[in-house]
Amino acid sequence: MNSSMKQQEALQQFQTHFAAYEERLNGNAGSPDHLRRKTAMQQLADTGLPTLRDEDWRYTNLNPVLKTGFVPSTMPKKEVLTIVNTREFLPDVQSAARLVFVDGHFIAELSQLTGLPQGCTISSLSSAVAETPELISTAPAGVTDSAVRQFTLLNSAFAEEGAYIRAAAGCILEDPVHLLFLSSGAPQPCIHHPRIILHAEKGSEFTVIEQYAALETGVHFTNTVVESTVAEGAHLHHIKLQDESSEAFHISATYARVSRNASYDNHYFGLGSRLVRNNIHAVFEDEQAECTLNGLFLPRDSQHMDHHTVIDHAQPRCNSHELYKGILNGESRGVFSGKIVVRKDAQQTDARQASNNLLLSEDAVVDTKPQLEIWADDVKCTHGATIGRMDDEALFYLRSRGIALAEARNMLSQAFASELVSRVRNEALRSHLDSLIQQRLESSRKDG
Amino acid sequence: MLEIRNLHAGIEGKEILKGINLTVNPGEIHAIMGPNGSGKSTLAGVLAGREEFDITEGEIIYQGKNLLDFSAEERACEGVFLAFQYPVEIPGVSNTYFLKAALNAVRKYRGVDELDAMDFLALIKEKMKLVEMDQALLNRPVNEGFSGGEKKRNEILQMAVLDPMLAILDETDSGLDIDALRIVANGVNKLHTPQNSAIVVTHYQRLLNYIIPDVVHVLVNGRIVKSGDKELAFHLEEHGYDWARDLREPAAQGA
Repeated sequence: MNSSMKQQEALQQFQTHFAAYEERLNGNAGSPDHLRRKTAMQQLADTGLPTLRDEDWRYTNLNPVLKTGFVPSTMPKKEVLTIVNTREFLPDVQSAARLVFVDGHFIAELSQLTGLPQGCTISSLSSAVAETPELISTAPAGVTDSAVRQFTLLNSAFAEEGAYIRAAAGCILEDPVHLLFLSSGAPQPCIHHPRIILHAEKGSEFTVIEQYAALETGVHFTNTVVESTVAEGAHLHHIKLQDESSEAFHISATYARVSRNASYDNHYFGLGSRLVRNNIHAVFEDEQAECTLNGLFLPRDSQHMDHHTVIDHAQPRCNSHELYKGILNGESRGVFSGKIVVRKDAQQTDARQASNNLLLSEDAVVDTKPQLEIWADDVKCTHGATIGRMDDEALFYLRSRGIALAEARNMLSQAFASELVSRVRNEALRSHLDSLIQQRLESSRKDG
Repeated sequence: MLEIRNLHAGIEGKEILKGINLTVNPGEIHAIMGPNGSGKSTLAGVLAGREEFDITEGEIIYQGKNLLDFSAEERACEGVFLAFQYPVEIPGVSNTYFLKAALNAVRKYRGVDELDAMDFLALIKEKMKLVEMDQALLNRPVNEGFSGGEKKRNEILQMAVLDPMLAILDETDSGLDIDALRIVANGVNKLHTPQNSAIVVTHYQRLLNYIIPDVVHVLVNGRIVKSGDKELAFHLEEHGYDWARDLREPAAQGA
């Protein structure tokens, strides 16, 4: 079967699910919420699902995802929920609130939403949409990028649950809000579409930790969309920690609109899943704003981790910093594609991008593709990419001081990763990340 | 301490060491001098366990054991220390973390209890005085952004911490001004005891004003062509290496 037939079949399957979903809606078929879903589904049907022939998907073969017959996820059983200890997923990290989802369903009894400061709204998406149906759009305005559009549309058609966080003007949250997405390893491969909406109003500041983890191994497909807006003088810190089961599929689109004197930073740490595709699309909507995209991914075995980012300098005098690092083991594959667009009027842009990759095995492969599209003339843009093996001279130096080869390799990999961990502001989170990375490097070493 | 017998070694099929014979007794300091390309750094590298060199003939007996049977890290644990000509910068690894990992690896190998953070800090502070090193350098990544002198002092600090039986100083004087040279040499002298030994590899006689060798060897084209006392170093300084090139065969046989 050729690949476009697979996309057709998968699309038909999604349409069947959608028809079944519509039947459940009964009298609500005319609601704005439903119209939005219908529009999204229709637009997806018109464009079709991506194939390897799409430039933005040429490094990531979606066939393993498309040929898995996913079913919509069902509410997890009570006995699954009783064994969950939500604290263990981020030990020692103090959080302002926690929203827990199992197989995409919001679990109120595992969540913690009390004691929030004045001016701060944190709720499940379903309860937020009940009050404000137009919260979810078909697709974020201005995003025409085919790389992200299809799966965003799919999310918009099906999304029912997720998180809504809004910090009112001047509201500052010290501790992070923890969004914990767990998969129960349900026997049938299920699909869920979390939708996360983050609004930092004028002069506000908060941190979100978006975490994916597995209770049990199993096949599932997470298709997340995050929409963030950062208003004038506001600061949004976004950390994503992805450690799903090694059989899982994960596709995400993260949008950020950043206003005057505001900043958005995104720190990604990727460990899990069989196939990951993360898209980030950040746009400067006004002057003197800042955007930071940091990413660290550590695939092993035959994991595939693909990262596509776009930073759109649509306004003058904005800064962007981007650093992605991969440490690849086994037969894993990594992709980094980072596009920086500097529009005609975006003078005095300062954009820096780097992609550095460390290959720990002979069979690991990484593709890195920086793309600069510059239409303004008074700009500072730098980009660089490196792919390398471990420095033999550094290894020998450590060994000549008595440090065993395996330990020396581990120290150097850890050092390579440390630059990104050090950029996370929360100390407890940093030490948790350090230990996760340490574990990953040690287990890869044993396997390899 | 160390006995090198008829050592032949090379890289990618090219022979660099062409039959080295050398005996170092406990408590002795030996200087190995020679022109560029004579094989000095190769000899130091072979002793420390650099894997890029092929040993084609000969043996190295260190404290009764066959040194070539040991990996680089095992040699370090057995008490062999190489002070690098070009110390390596390791971004992301702090000097303290590195030193502690090294010391505890060596202690574990030698069957001594590993040091905890407190005891380690006490030890390191004491050893730092020896090389007059700024404490701020402890928290910096290993050698990253260090000046030439700081890097060499850091080498001697590592030596002080690991307490080797056989120290090999590879061109430790290169790139040092006179003050740094004095500090580094002073550190080496203080660490010297009647039980341990050192091999000082150098191009110039200058370092040997500070570290007084018991024996001086002249290495030319992969062979030791002449051995003598410290006066030999002065002779070399005065007359250069040209005269030594003619000595080749006989001295190698007679050593």
